[in-house]
Amino acid sequence: MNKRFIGLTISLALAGGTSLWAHHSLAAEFDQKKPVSLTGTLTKLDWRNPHAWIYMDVKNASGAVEKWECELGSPNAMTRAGFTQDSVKVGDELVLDGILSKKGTNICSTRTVKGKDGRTVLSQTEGAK
Amino acid sequence: MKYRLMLAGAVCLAFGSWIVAQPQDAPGAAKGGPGKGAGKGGPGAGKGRGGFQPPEGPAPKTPWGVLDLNGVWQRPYVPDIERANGGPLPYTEWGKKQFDTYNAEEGDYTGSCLPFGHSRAMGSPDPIQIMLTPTSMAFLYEQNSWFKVFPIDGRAHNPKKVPTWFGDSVGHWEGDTMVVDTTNFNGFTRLDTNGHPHSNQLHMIEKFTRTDLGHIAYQVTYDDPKTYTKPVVQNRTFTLRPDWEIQEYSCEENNKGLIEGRIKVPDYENTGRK
Repeated sequence: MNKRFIGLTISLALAGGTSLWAHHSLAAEFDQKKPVSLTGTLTKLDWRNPHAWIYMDVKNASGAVEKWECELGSPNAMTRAGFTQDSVKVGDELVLDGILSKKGTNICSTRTVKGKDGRTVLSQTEGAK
Repeated sequence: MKYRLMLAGAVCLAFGSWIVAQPQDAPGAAKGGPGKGAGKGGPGAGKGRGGFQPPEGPAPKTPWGVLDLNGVWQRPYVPDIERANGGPLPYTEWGKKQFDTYNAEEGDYTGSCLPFGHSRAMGSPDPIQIMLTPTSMAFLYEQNSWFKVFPIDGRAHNPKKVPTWFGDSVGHWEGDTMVVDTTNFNGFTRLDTNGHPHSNQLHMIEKFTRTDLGHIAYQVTYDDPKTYTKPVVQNRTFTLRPDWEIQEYSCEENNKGLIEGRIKVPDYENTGRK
C-alpha cells in the first residue's frame, strides 16, 4: 500500500469548532453538519482570491484514489495569519479537516490542514505557529 | 463603468500621495467573531487579534487640527448583528418575514461577487483603510477592493442621486467625533453574513472617535422603520495596524463555487423594495 494515500474518512457528526469565514454565507455552498477528514497527497495549491483551493489525491476505503478539491480562506487573510503559498508543496502528505459541499462531489471547505508532524500548515480558523 | 472610473480617479487625485507602503505578512489571524473582546468598547476592544499589541499613546491630530482617523484598521468580524446585539432584533412584521424567509442556499448575493453594501463591508474581517482630508473622507475596504469617498464639509445629501449598494454618505465633525450619515441604499443588500435584512429606507449613522493612538471607538446605528421598530445601535473597536497594508482582493478571479455552478445567483432585485 502506498503510504502517501493513507485513507479517507467521513464523519457525519455535528461540526464544531470555530466558524469559517467566506466572502459569502457558507450555507450557500457547504453543509456545516457534514464534517470531513481527508488524508492524502497534495497535488496543487491554487493561491488566488477570493478563496485559495487545495487539491489532494486521497485513497478511499477500497483503495481507489479519489481526487478532492477543497476551498480555503482568502490568500489575503491566510497571509496575515502567517501562512503562504510556500507553506506546503506538491507531494506533501497532509491531513485536512473541513465540511462537505452540498452540491459537488469530493468538494469541501477547509478548516485546517496539518502535516505529518501534526503541525498546522494551512488554516481558516487559526494562525500559523 | 464611466462612474467607476471617475470615482477611481477621484481617489487617486485626492489621496494618491497618502498611500504609505507598509510591511505585510504580520502575524494575527484575520478571524474573529461577535462577542470576542465584547464588553467595554464592544467587539474588538483591547488587543488586536493574534496577540498584536497596537501602538500606545494619545490620539494624534491632523495638521489641520482634528483627530486623525487615517490608517489601516483591523475590525472585529461581525457576521451576526443579532448576536452582537446581545438579544433579539426589534423586527417589524415585514422585517421578520424578510429574515425568516431568507435562505442563503437560494442565493447569497455576495457569493456572486455583487457588492456587500456598506454595513456588511464594515463587518468584514478584512481590514479597512481610512483616509481623511479637511473636506473628504474615504473608506478603502480590502473586501473585494471596494471604496467609498464622500464629503465631510457639512453638506446635505443630494436626493437626486441614484440609490446604490453602499448608499450616499456625508460626514461632519461633532467635537472630536466624525459622524457619517448614509442613506439612499438600493435595498438589495443584507446587514451581515447571516442575512439580517434592511430595506431601502435604511439610514446608517456611524460615529468614529479616535480614543488613543491605537484605537477608534466605532458606533453604528441602523435606523430602518420598515424593518425594525426602533434603531439598532452597536459599538465596536477598531485597532490600528501600522504593520498591515490593504491588499488587492479580486472576488471574481477564483470564485469556483459560482463559476462551477454550485453557488446560486439570487433574485436580489426582488428583495428589499417590496
